Amino acid sequence: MLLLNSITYSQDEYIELSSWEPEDLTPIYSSFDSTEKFIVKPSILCANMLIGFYQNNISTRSISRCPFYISCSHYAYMATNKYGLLPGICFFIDRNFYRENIASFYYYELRENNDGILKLDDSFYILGKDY
Amino acid sequence: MNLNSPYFNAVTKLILIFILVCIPVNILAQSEMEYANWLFSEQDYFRAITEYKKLFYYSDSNDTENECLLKISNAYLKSNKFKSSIRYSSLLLNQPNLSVQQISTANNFIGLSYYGLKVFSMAEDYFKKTENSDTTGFSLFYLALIDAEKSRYKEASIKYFDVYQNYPKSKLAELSKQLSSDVLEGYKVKSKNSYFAALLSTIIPGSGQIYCNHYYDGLQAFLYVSAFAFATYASYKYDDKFNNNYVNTYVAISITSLFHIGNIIGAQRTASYYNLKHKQYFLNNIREKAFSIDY
Repeated sequence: MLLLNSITYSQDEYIELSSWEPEDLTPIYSSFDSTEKFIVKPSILCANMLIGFYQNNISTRSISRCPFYISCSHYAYMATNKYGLLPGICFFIDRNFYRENIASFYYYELRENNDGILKLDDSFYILGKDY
Repeated sequence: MNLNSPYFNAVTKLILIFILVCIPVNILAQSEMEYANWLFSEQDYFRAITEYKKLFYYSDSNDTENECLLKISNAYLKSNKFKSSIRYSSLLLNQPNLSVQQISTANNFIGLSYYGLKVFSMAEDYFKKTENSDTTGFSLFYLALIDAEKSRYKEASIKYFDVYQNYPKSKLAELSKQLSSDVLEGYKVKSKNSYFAALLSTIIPGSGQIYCNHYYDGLQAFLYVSAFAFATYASYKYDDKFNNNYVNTYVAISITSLFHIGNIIGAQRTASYYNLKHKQYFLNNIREKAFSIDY
């Protein structure tokens, strides 16, 4: 019976019968992930390692405080990889020190993240016009 | 006629087989198309697509296949799966013996899908392809919308007025007349100069953000940059009095510079965001009206 089941619902057939369309499986910010060519520099690699360490070891042990759709650490990661280390730090300072305040809820629109939580969408600041 | 003859039995059997097999299959196919159309009208696009695909797979008729491809493409378009919609409209365009109406509809679906993907140049190309052959006026109507998206409000207004004049009996006529005046309001949309905002923040930290009505951001930027500037001055005084070098001052200057440049970048981006937001508010109104009439 098990053998029959395994033949009837083989992996290939399961994928074929799946209700998902190929475009359902692409990430929301696919334009950023697929088209951007990152410049690999030692300084950026160090920054990525630090951000990665924070995301894996510190952020996971804390509550989710960031009100933005793109979290501050991911914003810093995107900014440093897109614009370089120093401009990336400037972008991060602007986001983390100047724009994150009580009035943010008035300025930015809400967008649902993967966990179903509504967050503030300021993607324009990092992704520009074509996001 | 001998009712018991083998010839009569064979004929009866054939008729029975024809009734049992052929006619119910046709009725079933017809009812399945009606069921799929009903699912589509109920906005249950996912199930409608499944039914259309089933009909497409079992169909022997080119007309049914073409109709199914159009419906599948439309259902994907309605459910915002634009890439899949483009795929099925392209499949339809590769079929032989298509009517002008079918080609026009498929091109419009591709154009609308590219519009949904925000690839306006491609959308424009496909609407232009069908502009002359389209008898409904929708191609020109959507071309006007693309012009509005590209901030060419005058051209958009002219095109909307053309739709009103050239297709007076179309359901688009009245709406096009209204939109031809509404779209010109785009020139009155508030905007801020992003370079001026950056310049303001360079001179007085936070003033660029305040210029863009982001008062809290401006205040925070001013307080942070001022605090670091004061700390830099204090470091300089300390180094000047007690140290032989100016290491503390250099470190303080570096940190203050990063915060000040962050403030300038923020001001420039905030002005751009302000412009985008106001343009989107205006365009949402136009889009809502434009898509209130179904293609």
